[in-house]
Amino acid sequence: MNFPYTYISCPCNDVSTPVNARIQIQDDEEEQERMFDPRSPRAGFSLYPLEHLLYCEDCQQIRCPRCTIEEIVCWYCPSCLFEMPLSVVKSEGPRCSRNCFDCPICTSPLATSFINPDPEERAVSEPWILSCGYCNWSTLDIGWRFESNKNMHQQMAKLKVGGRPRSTRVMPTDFAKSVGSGPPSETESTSLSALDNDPDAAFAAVRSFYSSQLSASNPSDPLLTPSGGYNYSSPSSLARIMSLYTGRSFGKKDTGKSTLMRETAEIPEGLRIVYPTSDDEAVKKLRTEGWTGIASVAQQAEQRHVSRFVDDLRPMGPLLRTKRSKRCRACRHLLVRPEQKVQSTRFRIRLVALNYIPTISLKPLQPSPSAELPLIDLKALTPLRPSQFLVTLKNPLFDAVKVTLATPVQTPGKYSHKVTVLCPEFDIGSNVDQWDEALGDGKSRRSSKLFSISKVEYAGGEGGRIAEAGKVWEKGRNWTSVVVEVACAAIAESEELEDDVDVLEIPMFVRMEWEADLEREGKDEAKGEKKEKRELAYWTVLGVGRVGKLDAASS
Amino acid sequence: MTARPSLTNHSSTSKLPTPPLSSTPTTLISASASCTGTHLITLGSKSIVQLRARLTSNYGPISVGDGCIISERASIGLLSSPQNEKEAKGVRLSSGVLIETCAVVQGASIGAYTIIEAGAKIGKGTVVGANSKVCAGVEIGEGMVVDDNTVVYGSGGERRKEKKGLGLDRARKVWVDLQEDTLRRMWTGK
Repeated sequence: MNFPYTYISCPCNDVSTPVNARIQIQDDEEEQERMFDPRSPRAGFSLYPLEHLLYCEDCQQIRCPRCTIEEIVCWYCPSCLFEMPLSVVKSEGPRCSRNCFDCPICTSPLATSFINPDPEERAVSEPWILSCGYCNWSTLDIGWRFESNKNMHQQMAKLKVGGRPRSTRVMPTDFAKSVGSGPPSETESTSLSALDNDPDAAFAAVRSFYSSQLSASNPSDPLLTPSGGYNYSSPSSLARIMSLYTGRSFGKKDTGKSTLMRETAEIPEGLRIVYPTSDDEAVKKLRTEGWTGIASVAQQAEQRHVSRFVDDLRPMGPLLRTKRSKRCRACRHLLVRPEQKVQSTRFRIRLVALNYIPTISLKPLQPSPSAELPLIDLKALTPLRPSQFLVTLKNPLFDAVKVTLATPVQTPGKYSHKVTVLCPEFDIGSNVDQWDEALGDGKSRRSSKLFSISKVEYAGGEGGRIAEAGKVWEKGRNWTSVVVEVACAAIAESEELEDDVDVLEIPMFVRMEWEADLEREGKDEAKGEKKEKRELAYWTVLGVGRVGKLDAASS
Repeated sequence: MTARPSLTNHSSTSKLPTPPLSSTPTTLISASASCTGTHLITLGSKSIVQLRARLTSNYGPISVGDGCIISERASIGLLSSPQNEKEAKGVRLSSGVLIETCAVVQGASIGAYTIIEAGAKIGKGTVVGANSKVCAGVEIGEGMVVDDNTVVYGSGGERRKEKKGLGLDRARKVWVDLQEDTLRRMWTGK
């Protein structure tokens, strides 16, 4: 864990609190005004770094990934950067259907190349292969050679592992009679292996069989489409579904006599029988090839069908990626919208919180050498002794902001550390251009006293400057630093600590007020007002460091 | 346009101890390559040592076979004292070995026509077989053995044994020879 850090709590966490819990919380609110506990399990789901947050201008609220809705703008192949129409994605699945392939071993992109790398012999060598430039896998490993470097998908559809063309299935019609009588004959096992090697064909056979059975048993079933699929969009289908759940009392009663459906009984219908000797070949292969011959879980997950061995792995088209826009869950306004063009990395709209709320940074205010005090070590903070830290807030807005900071007197958790913000109320200047400020009328300039503080004093307090209550430590064009004093509780060395119990996290409530310039935002036409008072409040967590144990620190 | 690196048959380093160097007239060593140490460094014929490559023989001898390419900023040789007899024998590269940029080879021996890709690290006492490939960034620990015709890839150092008789058996040899010819033509203009 790197110290210090700052996380911001998204208020959407409050909305998702259960009703019963909310009533209880309301009672507690009167007592302690809803203290934020960064150690509660719920807080883990609401704290985000500032860079991960968005800001809704209409709601004027922070938006985290949980309170935004994502919409897909376009689908594209990461390899060829070709945008795939949605209709193609729906029909052919979320993989690139062009000539892009990923290595089944290491997932690097495969390149189409000649077999012979020798340039002199290259001209005469016709077959093409797909080869991986990283792990050197090629389609020769599974016996695939291609006649041309175009229409690879179509050429692959004609091949199966081993390089043999896919045979037309010869199915025995009287196989049903021999079911259960013993192991299959040679012709039968050929048919079975044909289905085993081609799972698509096996699925198509079973699908067509059951579609025909369903249509035969109930020809007027509104749930079925002509292709055998389910049709949920028509009102009659919905009525049928309702009747299933209401005991056939909904709508028209079924008066027809339904015929019984039978199961698959023949291999052409998709029947597959598992014999005790079916796995013998696989077991034998496991023994001979060992661990290296078995496909890893990640390699198997990439495949479309079950592939136990490395030899069964096929090159797959790369998974398509999406460009997504984000909307506010409350008002549905767009927060992020990337450009439609795949090659572009620009955004049309991007309302990141970084441009709307101040960045908070924290650094230790080291005591001056004359004070003869130990330096502040963020990995072992000295207990029972006040340590001072500089909290700097930097304003990204073009308007000056009034900030109020509040912390609990004692931090929540097993060890209560005392926290005091020496200057809880202060102003931060606007984020105007430095040249504007220099050429302007000087209204936004800070007092000369504040500007006169030297960098030496700021960095180490060597000038003997003491932080005073109610006064800011330092102020710049669009930033202000205030001092926070912490007195850490004692942790005995003998004490066994759970994970990160000794981390000092300060929950801090930030409330900012400012007058937004409507003229600049282009909203002044409606009411005729030029300024609008705005307010934003949220909880942050400042991770300061680890508290050192008492004995170790004193020694 | 960058100037062609000047060529020399000996190390350019003057401050560090100069090792006994055995090379042939066809060996090309860049002027900015460094050969340091006290043990013997043997460079085979037609081998090329490129710019800022480091051959360190402080803790053991280095033997580079014929037609090897040691690319820019690659490091060959033991960087710490050997722990056993196997490591004390130093580093031996067989013929046609390609060591790519920033690779660190401390291994005992590298087989013929093996490619050690950019940033790969071969630990002390490791034996890498012939016609193998250690992919970019892969780290092989000390004392490991990589068989012939093996590709070591991925962050976990996964291994894949290459099949023989697929028509790609000579591919690596052709690739290294092509690179060696191209580099030689670039450097010498012949």
